[in-house]
Amino acid sequence: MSFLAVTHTHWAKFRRDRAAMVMTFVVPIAFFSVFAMLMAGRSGGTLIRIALIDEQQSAASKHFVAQLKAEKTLQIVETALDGNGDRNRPMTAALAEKEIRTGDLSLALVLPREFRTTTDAKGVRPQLTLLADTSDPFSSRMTSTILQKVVLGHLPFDVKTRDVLGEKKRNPRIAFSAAGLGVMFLLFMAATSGGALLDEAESGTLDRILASRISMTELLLGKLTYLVMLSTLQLTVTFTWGWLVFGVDLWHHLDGFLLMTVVTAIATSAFGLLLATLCRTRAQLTALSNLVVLVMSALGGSLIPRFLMPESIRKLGLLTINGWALDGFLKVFWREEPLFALWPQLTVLLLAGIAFFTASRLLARRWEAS
Amino acid sequence: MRPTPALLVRSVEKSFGTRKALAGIDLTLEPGELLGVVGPNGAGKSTLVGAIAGRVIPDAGQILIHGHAAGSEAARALVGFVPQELALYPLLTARENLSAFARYQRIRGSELAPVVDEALAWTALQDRSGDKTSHLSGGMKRRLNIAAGVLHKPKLLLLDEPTVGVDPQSRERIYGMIGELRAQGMSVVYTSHYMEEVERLCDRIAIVDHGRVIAVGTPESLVREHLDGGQELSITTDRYMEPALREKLSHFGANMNGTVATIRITSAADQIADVLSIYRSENAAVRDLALKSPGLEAVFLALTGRELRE
Repeated sequence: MSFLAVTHTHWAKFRRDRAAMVMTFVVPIAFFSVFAMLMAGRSGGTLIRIALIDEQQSAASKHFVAQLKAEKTLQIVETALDGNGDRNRPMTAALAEKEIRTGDLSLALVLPREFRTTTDAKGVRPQLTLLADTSDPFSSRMTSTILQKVVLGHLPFDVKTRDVLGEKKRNPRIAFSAAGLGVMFLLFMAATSGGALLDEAESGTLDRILASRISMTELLLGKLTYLVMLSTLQLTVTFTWGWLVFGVDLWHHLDGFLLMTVVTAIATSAFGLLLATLCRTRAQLTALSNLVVLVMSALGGSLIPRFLMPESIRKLGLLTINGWALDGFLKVFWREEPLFALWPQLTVLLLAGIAFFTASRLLARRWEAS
Repeated sequence: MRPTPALLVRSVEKSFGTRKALAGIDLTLEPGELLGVVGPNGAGKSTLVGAIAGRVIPDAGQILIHGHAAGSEAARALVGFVPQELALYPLLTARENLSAFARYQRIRGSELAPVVDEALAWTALQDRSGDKTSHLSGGMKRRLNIAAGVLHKPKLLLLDEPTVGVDPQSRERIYGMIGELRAQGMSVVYTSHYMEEVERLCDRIAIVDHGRVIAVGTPESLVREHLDGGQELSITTDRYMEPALREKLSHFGANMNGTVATIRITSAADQIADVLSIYRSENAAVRDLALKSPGLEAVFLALTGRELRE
């Protein structure tokens, strides 16, 4: 158990390193808080702003407009901007399109002169035109859903959308964001801390350690143990913050959270050691880890959830630690699957951890006796 | 029966690429002996120390520490290694550094605190034990660097240039520390660029060049064997030397530079009077006169040459 002496030293170093503490705890919490606030804003009932142009002005079209206005999620804009930036002239389809082009609006719905809400005698279905800035795909998708609901509202039955998965949950999306950013920061932290090996080689400390009774395997194992402990603490602190401030339901998912966290920490920590042993200098390590971690985080769903990605890219995400880790966290916090359902994620992450550690051990041979 | 040597280095060779760092080096160190290793930069000193510490694996030859092969578990327990660099954790305090390196030597539990306390007292760092190492002075760091290598009470200590960049007071303290280690019977291999300190501290000195030991012995025996036994007389006049004086001195093989003439003599009692009579005859006032027996530095320069090595 000599490797624990190395773990002990790294904890002592961490306690004396204020900059490392800030990077480990404060920065991830700050990032997560910003993301969580943005997300809370979206899911917490931000209105979708949409221009409405009724070209028919019939009883039926006016009834349809009234129904849309009754939708709580829509903020209807009926006037267009004048030269002074005030909205005081009637909105037309042409003006709406112009405003979408300039970014003043992102959506406009046109009820054409031939507007109707039922299929005609020839079987042609009613048509509406939705002008949209697709850089905001969420709003246009959501509006389509609302329109269908309003149209269906003309039928003699009611359609009620029930959110099957998110119904009773408290902020699962925020839990997902905590996990996504958390895994990204674990990777950054592991790479930075793994770089201590390069500092030790540079300062001659590594020579002294390896001339003592500690072997290279023990040294790396000691570092891995420290990193896994620190990573587990980092994710726990981030999620505890999520629970305190954003109401993430941590306590009902504690077992799944801890399992996923420890196994993810093993994979990210071993990966950090691997990156460090691949490099010769700190500068190389910083450049390499920034590139690799950002690419993995983007593909793996740390920044944008993978379920919003096209199928091909979604598959690429399975080549990343983030992809597997986030799939696991999604199962815990969103789908609320039982613990044994986590076995594919746990197995892959654990095996990846073992593989990364073995590779770093082999690469570290260059520092052993020359 | 002869006791097992503390260190036996036999025909050790080591190359890094095409550069031969050690070219068949031989050394023996008896228990309790302090051996100085000197040599120009790049002569192979640090490679030799690294090989004894088990950090460099020789291409050929053998290194035994009290009979155990260098780098083996048994040898590592017997060797204390103090690298040339300040191989410490700058963020940790003096006490934490000593505790860390003691743990690496498998000193644990109730054994740990007394060992660390003793080391702090030995280095006179008790008052600064809670300060971050990066905040300590150069001399304090050097002392701590040495202490971190002897916590496990090794039988053979390797000191690679332990006094680089420290003030005379700290250097004296370090000499005192080394004296205490010797009193405990520790054998020491001491590399340095400072000839005076090696001459003063070491029982024997090995001069290393081009990966080989080119001379080994006590300071006196090295001078005796490698120089002709002459002395160096240097005379300083209060004015620039006149051509007539220079002409006469040149017959004695004097090396003249401005107001100073340096002459190698073999019999001080006879030759000094002869030389001084020339000054008197030329009415040159002698301001300073010194007679110096050559030391290790002269031997070193005679054996390794005066050419710059890097």
